[in-house]
Formats: sequence, C-alpha cells, structure tokens
Amino acid sequence: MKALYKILFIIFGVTVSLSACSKDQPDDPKYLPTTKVGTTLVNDCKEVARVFKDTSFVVALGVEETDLHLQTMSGYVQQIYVLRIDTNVPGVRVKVSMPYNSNNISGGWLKQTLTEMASIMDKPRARVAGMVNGDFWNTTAPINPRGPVHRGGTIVSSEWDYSPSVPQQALSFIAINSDGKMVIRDKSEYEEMKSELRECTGAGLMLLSNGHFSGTEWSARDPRTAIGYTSDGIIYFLTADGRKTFGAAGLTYEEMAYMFQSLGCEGAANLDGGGSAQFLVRHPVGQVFQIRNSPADGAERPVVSGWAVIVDEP
Amino acid sequence: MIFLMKKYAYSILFSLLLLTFAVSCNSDSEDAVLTAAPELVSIIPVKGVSGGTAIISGNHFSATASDNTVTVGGQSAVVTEAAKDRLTITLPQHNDGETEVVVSVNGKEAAGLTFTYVTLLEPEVKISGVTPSSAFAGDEVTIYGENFSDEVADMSVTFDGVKASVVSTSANVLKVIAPEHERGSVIIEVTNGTKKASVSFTYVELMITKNNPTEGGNGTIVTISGEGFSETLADNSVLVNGTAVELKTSTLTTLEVVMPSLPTGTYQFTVKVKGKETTGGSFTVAPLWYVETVAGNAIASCIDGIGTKAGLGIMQDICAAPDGMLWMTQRGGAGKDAIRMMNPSTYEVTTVVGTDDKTISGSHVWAGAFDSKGNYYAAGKAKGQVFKVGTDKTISVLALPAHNLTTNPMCVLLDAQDNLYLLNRDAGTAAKPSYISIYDKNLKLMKDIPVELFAERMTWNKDKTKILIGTTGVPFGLHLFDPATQKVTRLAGTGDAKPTAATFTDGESGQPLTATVGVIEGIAAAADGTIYFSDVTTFTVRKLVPDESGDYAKGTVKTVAGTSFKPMIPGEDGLALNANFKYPCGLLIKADGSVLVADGTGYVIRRIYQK
Repeated sequence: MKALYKILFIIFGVTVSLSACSKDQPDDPKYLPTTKVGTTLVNDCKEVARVFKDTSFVVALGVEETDLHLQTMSGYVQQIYVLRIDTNVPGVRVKVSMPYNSNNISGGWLKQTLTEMASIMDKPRARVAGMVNGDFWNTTAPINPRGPVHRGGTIVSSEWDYSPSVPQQALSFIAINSDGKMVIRDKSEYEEMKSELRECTGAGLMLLSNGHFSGTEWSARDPRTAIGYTSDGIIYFLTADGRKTFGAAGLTYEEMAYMFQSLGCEGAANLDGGGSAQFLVRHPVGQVFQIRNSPADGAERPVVSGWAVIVDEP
Repeated sequence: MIFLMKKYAYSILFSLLLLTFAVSCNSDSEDAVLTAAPELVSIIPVKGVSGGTAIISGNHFSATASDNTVTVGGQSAVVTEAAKDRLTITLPQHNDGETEVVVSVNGKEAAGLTFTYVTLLEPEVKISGVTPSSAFAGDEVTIYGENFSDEVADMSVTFDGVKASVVSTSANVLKVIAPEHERGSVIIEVTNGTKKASVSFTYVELMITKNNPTEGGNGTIVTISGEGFSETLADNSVLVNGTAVELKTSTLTTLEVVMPSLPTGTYQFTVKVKGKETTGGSFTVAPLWYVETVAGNAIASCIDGIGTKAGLGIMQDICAAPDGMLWMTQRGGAGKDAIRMMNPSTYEVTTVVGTDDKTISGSHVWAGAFDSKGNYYAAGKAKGQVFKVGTDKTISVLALPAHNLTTNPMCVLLDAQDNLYLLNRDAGTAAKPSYISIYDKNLKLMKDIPVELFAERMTWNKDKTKILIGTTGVPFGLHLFDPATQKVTRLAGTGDAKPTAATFTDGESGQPLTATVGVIEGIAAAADGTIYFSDVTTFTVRKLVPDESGDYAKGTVKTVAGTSFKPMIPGEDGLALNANFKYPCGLLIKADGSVLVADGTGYVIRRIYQK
C-alpha cells in the first residue's frame, strides 16, 4: 500500500510538471488573430471559420489597413484586404476619383489605373491615402459607368444604365451627403437625394440595409470590392482576391455581407469586381502608391472610377 | 501519528520541488521580450506641423505611455497612446526641416526614422479667364484659374456681391450661374478659404443697335450689331419678315447674315438667342448695285482695244468730252503717263497722248477737264504743269502766269465762262496751304485761294456753283468749297485718322460726320444731289445722299460697292457690296445713272450699276 501510494504520488507529480511546460508542446495549434478586424471576424462573423494570418498597419492618421488570410465556413480560403477609415479624424474623407482627376466627359468616359489616378489626384493638403475601384461600366463605347457620378458636389452624370444582361449592376448607389456622412441606398431613392450628394457612384447589390442582409439568389464566388459604413463615421473598404482556388477563392455576397455586419456596419454595397477588384494604399514606409491585392487579371486593370481616401497632409 | 506527519511532510516537499521545476519552464521568453530594444518601422505622417499628431509603428514599445520616451528633432514629444507596436505622439515645437525620431524604452534606444516639419500654406487663388465674358443673368459662366477647391461647398462666388450658384468645380475650372443683375459691368469675386481673386464680367441684354449695310437685296451680307448674341453660331437665329435667314458668323456683338429674296420695302431683324428675342435694325430692299469690269485686262500696259482686250495703266481720272467720249488720265511716271479715250458704249479704248510723248512723260498726269470748245486740260502733278490737248489732239504746256503754284497741281476744272480752276496740293496747313488758283480764259490769274486741306481731288457740285474736295490727309473727309466766300465745309467724315477695318463705318443715318472716311481720289455729283466718292483707304465706292430737302448736313453716307479692306486684283465683279476694288480713283456718272470707276492700280475701268 505504501509503495502504491508512492507510485501514484510520483505519477501525479510528473503529470503536473509536464503540464506546466505545455507552451512547448501545445495541444491546440490554432492561430489567434492579432488585429481587431481579424479578431472581430473570427469571434462575430458566422461566415468566418478561422484566420490563418492577419496583420495591420497605419496608412495615415485615422486610416488603417488589415490584411487577412482566412477560411470561410464553406471551407474556402480567402485573401482579404480591409481599409478602416475613421472619418471622425480631422481631414480624413472619402471622395470619388476619376481618370486624370477630371470631370470632363464631353469627349466620352475614360479609364485609368488606380495607381495613375492616385498620382494625379494626390496634392498637398489632400493626399491620397488609399483607393479601391468604383462602379461597374458599360464595356461598349462610350464606356459610361452604370450609375451616376458626383464629385465634390459636381454632378458629373446623373444617368443610370441598367441592363438585364448584367442584373447585378446599377442597383444601388454609394454616396457622401452634404453633411459628410456616407449613405448607401437603393437606386430608387437617387432622384430624391441627388442634390444632397457631394460624392456618389453607382453600385451593385446592397449587402446591408439598416444593418441587415436581405439575402440574394446570386451565390457566385468572385474577386470583389465592397464598401460599408457604420453609424459612427467608420467606413470600410474591402477587397477580396479570387479565382485562385487554393489561395483566394473569392467571396459570395452573403459572406461579404456578414463580414460587414460583424464589423458593425449599417450599410454596405458591392462594387465592380472580377479583374476590377483592386485595393491601393500609399505605402507607409516607401510613401509610394501600391496595389496591395492580386488583381485577377494579373495586372492593374484601368477603371472608370474609384473611391479614394483623402487626408490632410502637407 | 509521527509516521503520518513524516509521510505528509515528505509529500509536500516533493510536490513543491516539482512545482518549482514546472514554474521554471515558463518564464524565460517573457523576460527576453521585456528587455528587448525597441524597433522602429514607420512614422505617419512623414510631414507635418508642430502640435500635430503622429503614429510611430514598431516593436518592443511599452504599453505604458510613460515608459516610452520619444524625441523629435531633439525635442521631447508627449506620448498620448501606447501599445507594444504603436505610439501616438504629439509633435513638439520645431522649426521647418527634416528631423530625427528617437524612441527609448527601458533605457534602450532606437532611431532611424525622419520626420519633416513644414509650414502649411494656403495656395493663392488665381483667375486666368472667364467664358463668356459677357452673358445674361441665369447663364452658366465658366471661370478658369488655379487653386480652386474640388469641393463645391468650399467655393464662394459673387457677382457684384450677389452670391452665385456653383454648378461644378475642380482645381482649374469653376462653373457658376450668373445671378440676377441689371445690365452692365460687374466684378466676379472667387473665394476659396481665405484666398480671393476677381475678374470683370458684363451683364448683357439681347439687343440690336444697328446693321450695316442698311439697304440691299437678295444675297446682300448684312452685319447686325448689338449685344447678347452667342459665339456659338447655332445658338442664334435671325428672322426677317418672319423667315429665317442664313447666318454666316457670330460673335458676342455681331451677327453676319445673308439677306434672302424679299419684296421691295423696309424690314426689321428679329434675333433669337437661347429663348430670348429682340427686334431691331432696319434694312431696305431696293434695286441692287452690281459691279462689272468694262475695260482693261488687269495687267499694266498701254494697249488699245475693246473692253477687257485693252491694256491700261494706273487709271486716275475719267472725264466726259463734249462729244460724249470719255477721256482718261493714265499715270505712273516716265513711260507710263498717257491720256486715253474710251467709247462709252463699246468701251473701245484708244490712245490720245501716248506713253512715248515727251511732254507728258514723267508728269504723273492726274485729273483733267474740258472747256466749252472741246479743249482738254490736265494737271501734270510731278512736273508742276498743266497740259492742254487741243481738238486736234496735240498736247502743249499751258503758259500759266507766276503765282502760288506749287509743284503738285492735281486737278483742273472749267466753268461756263471757261475760267480755269486749278487745285495745287500742299501740306494743307496754315503755313503751307493747298491753293485753288482761278484763271480767266486768257489765263490771267484771278484768284489764288489758300485752302487748309491736304487735297488731291476736286469736282463741281451738281449745279457747278461750288467745288467738292476730297482730302488725302487729316482732316479726312468730303468737303464743300464755296469760291464766293472761300469757306470750306466738311460734308462727310469724322475728319479723324483714316479708318481701319475695325473703325470703318458709314455712321449714323442723317449724321454724315459720323462716317469714317479715308483718302478720296474720285468724286462725282449726280443730278439728284447724291455725291459719289471713291475711298482708296477702304477700297470702296461710297455715296453721300442728302436728306429730302437736299441738306447734306442731314444726309447719310452709304457704301455702294466694294468689300471694305479686301483689295483684290483682278477685283471680283458681281453684287456690288461683295465685289472688290484695288484702288478706286476717278468716278464718272453716265447718263443711265451707272457710275464708271477708274480702278487705278487694278488697271481696269469698272462700272457700278443697278438692276
């Protein structure tokens, strides 16, 4: 009995000792997100299963980029880029960009890469900190955008160009109103609101309205860009790479909607995607404009419009 | 009991030993992090001002703000927020320039980042232009310049202090709606922040002030003057008698139209521009004047022939002989001076005194006239002589007595008593006047009248009681000289400098002194009182029409033929106001009312006629 007691006591002691060294030999190797966005998506988004890797950095005061490599509940792996824009920070605002920073469409609409648009738009006291692609456009001349375009209170175009052949386009609009607040609404509300919209582009499917996702019949998985906003002045630009099955499968509308919802957004809408889905920031160390994602075309695709983050820097 | 106590003590000691071992496995790495030196990755922004905020990214900072020491350019910065990978600081006071950022944590220091202090300047607003520079209230006006805001809400634009609605804005182009304001010039003030710039602008009303010419017919090109017109041709429309007329050109103040076929009568123009409408001007449709070339081939020579088969030199003057034949002076200097004769019906040209005649050669023979016996007299300008060509067509130099004859006798006239009037041109000043010298039929000098006009041309008025004089220098214009009183009266022309394409005008109706008139080298008085005169400066033939009472002071100057300031050789014939002259000189009114024109350096004789 005494011997048995000693044996049991030694077994207990060794077990305690080994468990104290558990950091060297974890029984759960699951990665824990290090960023607020990554943590939020893992904890609060029902479409996100896990985050493999995440990182974030400051692009400008009030502007922070988060890069995420994650897995959705459907099993697909994603590469996602999120720009969090705090419009409560003085000087931080979002604006519509156009090729050559020109509102002149008398000769037809133009296309330009985000990198070129940012370089031309960038100027003292109105520096470009980031940019994503904007609205869909009609691919035949005059390559007009599917929805309206407002810039700085100038109504460049108030036309809609809906086509049944592309039913996911010209459905809604993303705008900054005269109070500087973002609004995303169904296109049926445009005419009534347009005089109050300082910045505006058309958009595709509304992902969130009053914080809710209304569902959709479209379930395709693609490279996508979308914009969402919270009621307290935070705007999110989100671009997901896609069409790379084992590295970045692309998001569905539903997955994207619930991501914005978990980030606290009350409104969100989808913009042009596929090869147009592009995400640019001014690199905080190199101070150069850099496309952060991997556009599906393999190179930058010129687009008719974009949404830019402007900051008040010299 | 002792056994039990020993057993428990042994167990407790053994457990403590194991626990000590377990705890010792867990603490090595954490101690290493706490003691690591900080690392710097970036500072955002990289430029800014004293008192601004910046975020330093890196590693191994302390999450306790006070544990981190940050200096920028050697000045201590307040750390307002801290995390292990980010420090938010308030930038300390510093002069402009590049500075080094240093972070110290737990006595360990990191450097390698730079921050540049700058002074924020608000760029000056500049205006380079405004289009249109004159417009109606409610029109869109585009202002071009620099450093406009691309936010409509940032821009303030006022017209004479009245706020304008901004339609669109970019860094260089600003579009606004001109607010309500009465007609006249105003200042547009553009404000962006604290910076302002201004530019002048004119509010207009749609109105017609005049049209030129005021008479003509089908095909006549009329310039309508006024304001409120559009530079975009298609924005304007002009109606006459309810019918739209062809518009050729448009500016903000002129419209050029081509008159349609209309019944005889007087019409007004109706102009419509962008929904606005006005009526004004006056245009009388009457038989039209046309121009045709009747003699000369437009090549300088002296070849007899019929009509345009003939070769002519510089044709200066035309004069009707008692037998109806037309005598013409041809000048140009030695080897070119001649007296030619033309049949008024067939336009056959023959030579009376040829270019090989030594008497006339080198005289620049100018203008002449006939006496009652059919002798012809002509002024030989360059020789200071007057020639006489007898009925036998022999030429001689007239033996005039000594007097104030200058070296430039230009014109000769004879009255019913065959007294000879000679115009001697000089500077036309009080010190050096021109003279009109009057000789009786025996060439006795009767009068030598100084005239303060620089004049080369004179002719009788319709009843041969007074002399019409055209000047070659200031005062430009058509003048009337009364030999009885020796008084000179200007009938037409402002008297100012020669007209230019910009100042050319027939003036106001009933105010002949408002017309701008150039060098006159030909004058002819019609029986109805109309005085035709050739205007070398403007390349036109014009007329002064007296009012219904015959008063020239209330007459009207009208351009009859020629396109002003468009000389051509050979000149184009056709509709008179679309035709071209090269150098219109001597005029002669034919019995049918048509007017012959010696088109001097055009080397032709032209006829202006109505149909």
